[in-house]
Amino acid sequence: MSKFLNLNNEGGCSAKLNSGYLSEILASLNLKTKSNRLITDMTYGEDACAYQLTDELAVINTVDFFGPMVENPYVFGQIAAANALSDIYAMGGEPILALNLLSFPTKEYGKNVICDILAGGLSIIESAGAALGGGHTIESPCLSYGLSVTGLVRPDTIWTMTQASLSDCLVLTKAIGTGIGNIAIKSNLLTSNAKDIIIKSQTTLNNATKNIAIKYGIKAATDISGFGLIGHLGNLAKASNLTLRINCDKVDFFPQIAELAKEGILPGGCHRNRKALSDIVRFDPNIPLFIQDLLFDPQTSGGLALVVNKNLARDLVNELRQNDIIANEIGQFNEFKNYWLEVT
Amino acid sequence: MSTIIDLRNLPCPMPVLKVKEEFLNKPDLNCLTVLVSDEINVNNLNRFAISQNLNFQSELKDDIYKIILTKPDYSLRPDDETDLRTANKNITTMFIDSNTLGNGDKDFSEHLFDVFLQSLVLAQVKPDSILLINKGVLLLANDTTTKISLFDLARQNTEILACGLCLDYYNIKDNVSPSFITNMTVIVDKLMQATKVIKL
Repeated sequence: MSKFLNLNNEGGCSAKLNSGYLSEILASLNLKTKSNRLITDMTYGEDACAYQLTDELAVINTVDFFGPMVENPYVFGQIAAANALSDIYAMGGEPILALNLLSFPTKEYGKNVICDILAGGLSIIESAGAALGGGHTIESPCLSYGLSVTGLVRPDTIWTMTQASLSDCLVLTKAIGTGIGNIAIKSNLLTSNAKDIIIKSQTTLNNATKNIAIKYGIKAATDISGFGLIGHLGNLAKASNLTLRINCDKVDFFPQIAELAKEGILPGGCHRNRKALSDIVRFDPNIPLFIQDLLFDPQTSGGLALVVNKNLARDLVNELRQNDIIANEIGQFNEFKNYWLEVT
Repeated sequence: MSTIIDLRNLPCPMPVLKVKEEFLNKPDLNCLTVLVSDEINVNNLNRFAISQNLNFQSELKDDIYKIILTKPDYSLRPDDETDLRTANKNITTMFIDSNTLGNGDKDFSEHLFDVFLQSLVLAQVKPDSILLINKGVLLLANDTTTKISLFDLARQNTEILACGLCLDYYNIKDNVSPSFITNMTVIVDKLMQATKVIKL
């Protein structure tokens, strides 16, 4: 394993604070100024915050950073940037401006490593059509990189967590399993084909998905990251006050990931997610433990969960697939009953 | 066969990989006790046990998680190595590859070894194991005072292990008790598991 990858630290979104712990911290904040221009706030765990400028324009801001999960600094930069930009797409917006955030141990690595990380990030920022406007760096024993991103959206077409309606369907893009995949990459447990697929998925922007989905009148969406599929879909159902019934057979997993999960090759974030979220979900007793674990697996640069009218779901999935995007209709919203999520 | 491995401070997924390797390399392993330092690895080893059809028990004591993995139908016996103290202990192994202590005059150097072993018998701290290899096995030859000292050490719980190949080569195997005879795999394991090796 290269020095770049510190096995003791969880790279990517696996390093996220546990959601229960975070809720307690946020609840302790005494917010005195509440702007009525804020379309979204911290209440429902939105992907980004949206601030209305005019009747026709809102600005979306988001920030995301983490430590490396792959050994190549350039690819790490790409993944961190794609992951940060994803929050803008998850709100139905278009990124316009990015700023770099980098904490770096200069005693550990050469200047070329910083150059490679930033070059990887820039390649993704530019392919998203956004501009890099600057950034901030600090010397630190812990390597982290990410972006602060600004995007734009029309306030009347913004996708939030609260707007799922009864009978709407949930369409999920990208496969699940990057948390397990990334620790397996660190320990050399994957075939090169599986490794390439998992890395490629993480460096792929969700812009094409957003551009297709926007034609289907989406009102609610989120992206899947550190809290895993259960955590993010749970937030969506809770914010919309409905129960989302998920068919786990419809969820795509990356190659080799299910076998690794079965043997207990799971990142810490997976267990932290289960601990924090187990009371929001009811699993059918026939669902094996490893499938449940996969649904709690923290994702880095995951796909979008799109809430779509049930009559349009099939067409949306077809169009996404025609554009080489992995897409599946995995669930439907029902009236709230005991749990926010039911997995069958 | 039972064994205990200390995997504390190893991040996931290393403990699962090490445990998997242990069972693969030792087909007759019935009971493996594993020490880990965090709950994540306890959860991962629980999944591993389910996938391999192993029984799983865990307990938390003094911030150390002790996990006992046993093959189906195997019940724990009192002599199974599941005691935390075994794993916490520093293991000192002495590696002896000659019947002379140092490279001086032959007779004098043999005498020096004799004196050394007699002193070791009386020492307060003794090694956990003494590994005898090559001409070191001659210390067990009949009618030597070194053999008497080694027997004394064995009675005081120092494990004496002599290389079977070497005993054969020097033609003294028949005179050595089978409990003292071992092979190179065990010698390598003992050296690698030791926290301190003293080579004479």
